[in-house]
Formats: sequence, C-alpha cells, structure tokens
Amino acid sequence: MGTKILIVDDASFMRMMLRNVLSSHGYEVVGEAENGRLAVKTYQEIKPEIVLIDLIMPEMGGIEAVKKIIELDRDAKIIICSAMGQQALVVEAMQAGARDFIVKPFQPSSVIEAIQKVEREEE
Amino acid sequence: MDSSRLNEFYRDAFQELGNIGSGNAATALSQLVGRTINMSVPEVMIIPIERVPEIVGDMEETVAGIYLEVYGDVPSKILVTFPYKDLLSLTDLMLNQPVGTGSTLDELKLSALKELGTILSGAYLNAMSKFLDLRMIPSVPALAIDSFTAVLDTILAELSQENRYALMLRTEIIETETKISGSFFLIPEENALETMTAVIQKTSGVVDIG
Repeated sequence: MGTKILIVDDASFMRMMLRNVLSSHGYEVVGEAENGRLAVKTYQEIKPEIVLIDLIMPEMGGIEAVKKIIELDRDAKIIICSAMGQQALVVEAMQAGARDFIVKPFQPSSVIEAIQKVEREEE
Repeated sequence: MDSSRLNEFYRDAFQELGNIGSGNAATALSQLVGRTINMSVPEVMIIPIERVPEIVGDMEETVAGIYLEVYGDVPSKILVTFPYKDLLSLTDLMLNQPVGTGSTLDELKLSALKELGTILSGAYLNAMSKFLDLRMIPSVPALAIDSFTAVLDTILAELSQENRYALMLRTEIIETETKISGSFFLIPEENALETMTAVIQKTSGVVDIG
C-alpha cells in the first residue's frame, strides 16, 4: 500500500485531479474533505500520513486548519496546494506548520516531488 | 480619484500590472488545459460605474460569471466571464476530454469553472501583490450563469455608493483552436485605487499624481 493521503479542497474538480495524479503514482487517497473544518475532523478519524490542503475554502480556510491539525498532531505532514502563491501567504502557511507549498495549476510531477520531499524528511 | 487625475504615468503602471497578470494567467490556463493560450493586451480603463455597461458591449449575452471578493490592502471585486456557448468546450478541455463531446454542465464541470476562476484570479493577484508589495487575498468564488447585465448588477450592487469609478482591467483569453474567449475584470472598492497609486508613487519616486 502506498502512503495514505487526505485531499482537502472545496472544488470537486481539483480533488479529482489530485486523486488521479496520486492514484497513478501508487499513493492511496484515504479521504477527501471540502473545507478546513471537515479536514480537521477527517484527520482525527483516519490519521492520514500526508495532507494536501487548499488555502481558500468556505467555513474554515487552509491556514486555520493547518494550525488545528498541528495542535492535534505536531508531526502532521501537511502540504499546501493553492492558487495563491503570494510570499506572505507562503510564509504564513509554513509558520503554521505546513511542510511545503504547491502553486496551482500544478504539473503532476510538482505534486509528487513535494510528497517525496516530505516523505524523505521522515527518514 | 477620477480618470482625469490618472495621468499617463499611472496608466502605464496599471497597464504593466495588467500585462504581468495576464501573462501569469495565460501560463496558468495553458497548464490547466494543456493547450496554447493567448491573451490580448489588457485594456485598462478608469471609468464611471454607470459607463461600465457601454464598455462591456452585449449586456444581454448569457455568460458564466465567476466572481470573488479580494480582501487585504486593496479591497476589490474580480469578475471572470466566459460566453455560455463556450462552456462545454472549455470544460471538455479542463477535463481532458475531446472538445465537443460534453453535452451537459454537471456538478464536476461547474466545479471546474469555479476553479478556473480561482486560478486565473490567483495568477493576477499573485502578480499584482508582488508588483505592489500589497496583500491581496481572494474569497471563495461564486458562479452565476445569467445575462451579463444580471451578473454585473450583482457585483455593482455591493459597491459603495461613494465608489463612483471602476478600474476596469479587461483581457481576452483566447484558446487558438476552439476560439474560446473570456474576460477578466478587476473593480477596486472605495480607496483601493488610491492605495495602489500611492504605492506606485512611493516606489517610483514620483512626487505629483498630476
């Protein structure tokens, strides 16, 4: 079984794109959530190894969700995947506890490289 | 601020902002659909709100309008529109399906359209934020399929009565094979235009707005 990944994005289209990229590279998508609040809840329930999360979402955005997940699990491995690549947001996300930042639209290789980088940090 | 006070220097600066944003947006869209995307040189206009319809043209055309708020240093509204007749071709491209095979706009395709608006807006905002060193954060996008009049009215109704002028930044997004075209509008809220010109003035060393 590949690394267990939780996808969090309010756009079902983007969740589908990420699911296809991950599945075709041997990763196991164990859950999906459409906002930050559901992401925190799902994280507690299924304990994924890596979380891919958007920033701008209804109910609870990505940065707040990252902070809440890190409160639950300080070793959580979270990668931001957002169309907003502004320097201040990247810094804020990394300070909140994210391990990497992918700017949409992405090449599939960028997603895989970010995951592999986070996986290597574990070793 | 009105158009008469926006001298050539600032028009050039906003034009350059539009060029950079459009370049980023074209690159983003090209990556998303896997096709070559061309974008026209942006038109930058400072116009009274009431003149927006005459600039836009065919106000009764049915469009998909993806609109969102921009928070931060430059409160604004963004509208991205695509003609209704092009939506199926556009979503076919985004879903990597042969153009012309889609027949209905299902939930996945509507989601794809909203995501397209998010990504195009992100490309513009990232460029403008870097250029002006200002924080510009978008809201979750909303999608409406209606006449251009109805879509625009929704946005303009939320603008302050004090905001009598709109900075209209319009770019045509053109996919060369299917001839899909779309438009991008940025409408700053009250004082947002002043914030942007003040930053341009400060960073360029210009003394007088003129």
